[in-house]
Amino acid sequence: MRCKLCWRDAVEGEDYCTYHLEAYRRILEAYEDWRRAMDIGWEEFLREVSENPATGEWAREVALRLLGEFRSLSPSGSPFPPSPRRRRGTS
Amino acid sequence: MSRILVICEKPRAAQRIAEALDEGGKPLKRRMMGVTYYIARRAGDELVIVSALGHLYTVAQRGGRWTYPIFNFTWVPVHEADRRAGKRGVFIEAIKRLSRDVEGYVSACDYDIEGSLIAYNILRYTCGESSLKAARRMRFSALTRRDILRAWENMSGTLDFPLIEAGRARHEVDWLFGINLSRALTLSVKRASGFYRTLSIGRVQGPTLSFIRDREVEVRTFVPRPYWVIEAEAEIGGRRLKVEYAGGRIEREAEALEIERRCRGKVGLLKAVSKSRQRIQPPTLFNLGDLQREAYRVFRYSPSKTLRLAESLYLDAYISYPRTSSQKLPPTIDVREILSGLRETAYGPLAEELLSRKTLRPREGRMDDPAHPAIHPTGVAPKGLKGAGARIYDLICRRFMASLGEEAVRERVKAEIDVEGYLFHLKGGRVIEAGWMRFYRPYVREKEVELPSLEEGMPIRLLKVKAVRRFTKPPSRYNQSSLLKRMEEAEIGTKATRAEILDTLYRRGYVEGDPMRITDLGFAIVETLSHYCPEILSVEMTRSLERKLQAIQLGEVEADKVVEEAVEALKPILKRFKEREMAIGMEINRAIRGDIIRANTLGSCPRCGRELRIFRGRESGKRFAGCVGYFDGSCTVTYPLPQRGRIEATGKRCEVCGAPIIRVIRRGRRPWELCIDPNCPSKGVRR
Ligand SMILES: [Zn+2]
Repeated sequence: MRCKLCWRDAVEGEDYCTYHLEAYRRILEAYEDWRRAMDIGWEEFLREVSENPATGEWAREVALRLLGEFRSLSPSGSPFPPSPRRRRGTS
Repeated sequence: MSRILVICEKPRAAQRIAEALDEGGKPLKRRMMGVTYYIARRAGDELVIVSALGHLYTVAQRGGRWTYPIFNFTWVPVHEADRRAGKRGVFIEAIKRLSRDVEGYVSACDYDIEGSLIAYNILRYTCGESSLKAARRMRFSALTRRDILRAWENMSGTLDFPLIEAGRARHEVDWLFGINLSRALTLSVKRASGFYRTLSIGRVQGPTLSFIRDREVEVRTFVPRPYWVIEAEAEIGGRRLKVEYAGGRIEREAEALEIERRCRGKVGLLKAVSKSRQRIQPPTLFNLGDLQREAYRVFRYSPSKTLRLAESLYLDAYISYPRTSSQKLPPTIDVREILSGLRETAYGPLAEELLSRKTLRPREGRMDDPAHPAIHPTGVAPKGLKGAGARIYDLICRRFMASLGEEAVRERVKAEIDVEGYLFHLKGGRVIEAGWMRFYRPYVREKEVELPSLEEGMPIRLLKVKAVRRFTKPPSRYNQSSLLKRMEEAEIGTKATRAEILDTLYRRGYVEGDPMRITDLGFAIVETLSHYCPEILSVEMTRSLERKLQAIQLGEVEADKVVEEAVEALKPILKRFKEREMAIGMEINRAIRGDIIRANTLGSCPRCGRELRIFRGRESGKRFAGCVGYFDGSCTVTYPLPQRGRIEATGKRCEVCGAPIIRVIRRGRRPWELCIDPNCPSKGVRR
């Protein structure tokens, strides 16, 4: 299986290669910090991160993909990120 | 009367040495087969002074096919191993003829591992084994007449065998690693894809590339965090001055907004003013790494460029030998004599001032080098020095004089302002005693903020208070200077080879730009190796070999034993590689293809939005840009391209017509950017 975002092989049972998976893990971690720092929901957080020039390119690619996924999955805009397990079940 | 052959490392060094050694100062200049040599007279002896052209011999495979593993090697003339080095064959032939009827030999190559090995190989393979016993070694750290004569008087009775052995082992070990791993990589790709591309990795290159990779992953997966700072300005004595919120970074937005709300437009009280004096020590003398880093900081010169320039200054006898680790100056070097020499230059007044002092001791660093002192000017006044060489010389001279200067003193002022229970700081500072800084200008980093007079208890009005959101930053990518430092800290490579290793990473297409970005190919090499032979990337293996090589120099281990150990270390790695050759080749090949596609993509098609790529016309062979829709006939957008130079995507779009902006890079010219569409109205003026 290819990574959904690049030419590398995906980690077994995952959508992403090791690098994009690492970026995904760091996005989830960052979300916790952002929520402690300010009043912000998942979608707005992803938008902020994907537009921030300091965001690394792999993190940005993951953020954009999550943003697209989130918009198609949850039109009401839940403030919580879909859990990785659920995400995999629906894709 | 004896005839003595003196072997030097480079033609310019041979000339200097000949001029210094000839009693009349005018050696006879002769040519043999196009190679210049000199005849000098000294104490009744005839000295034949000839130069090499760096290494004339190299390690090469002994027979057999282009494959791996290869552990069978021999030393051969460089021009036999590398056809581009044809000129060196003439040097070997000329030296062979000149060595007839010679009774003694002197190695006068640069005094370090490489120099010792260069002379040794020439003696052994060109002049014959017996010459080794009749050879002596000159040791010098600068090419001034004084240094050369002193080296001649104090010659050692034999060659410096520990140094030679260390050099021989280093070359053999590096060759074994380089040839085997590079062939393994190249052949794996050939086997997987059928096409040939030179790939290489070496003993030091591996860990270095790995450093760059690790940093790149950190940068690319970085997610910024928000924090807030309070930006504030105060009015004091009719001036607007920046004040800092003493609490520093604020983690929560609500707290930042609260401070802003409570302090905005308020008048605070100056609580305390404190003044302190900071003594700033002179900088230490340069070793090669320090010089390379400083030249990068102030001129943005690459480490290899700085080394090249410094070497040229050394050959002109303007500075001491630059390939040194030392930050020290032994007492045998006469600082006053050097300064007297500098009196004749633009540094006259500064040198004069130093000379008027009773004691002169430079500030030394911790690092030492058994063979050479820190880099310093020789005192020989440069003639006609221009451009980059003059800059490096200036930096070295000023650093030398600065290291002899006295401490600088800086006064720091800090005031505390209380606004509604929140503390703000007002900071200023100025140099009150310039000390060594006068010698090192314009290379001193100075930040001056002079404050108006302040009194405790005075009211201070805040003009502006604003909570500003900022973001944490990713770690910075390595630039050539910080990577060099990282290699030094990890103790991999030598002062003489590190800059060259960085150049190789660029040449092989593993990294690009400065700061350095690793390419997909570079990634693939590191990933593949970390998968199948992680030892190659590990600092530990490289460092432990490095230490063994140093132990040879100290006479603690035998060279052959270290080379044998390297072979034993390589065997299992290469066996594993061979077993997985196909898988490795496929992995790397995918990255090469990805890189090629990326390098050929110039942006998106202004008509249909798909990729615009560089293609070559089947008949004309000329390159042009075309939409990928061209293949299925769905889009026909094409543009002509400049035929010379490299073309890159910029990621920008033309503001006039929306087509991509491309960058054209030609050797020796400043890169320029232009809209890809030749009919774009933005070019109306030029057409
Ligand atoms: Zn990926």
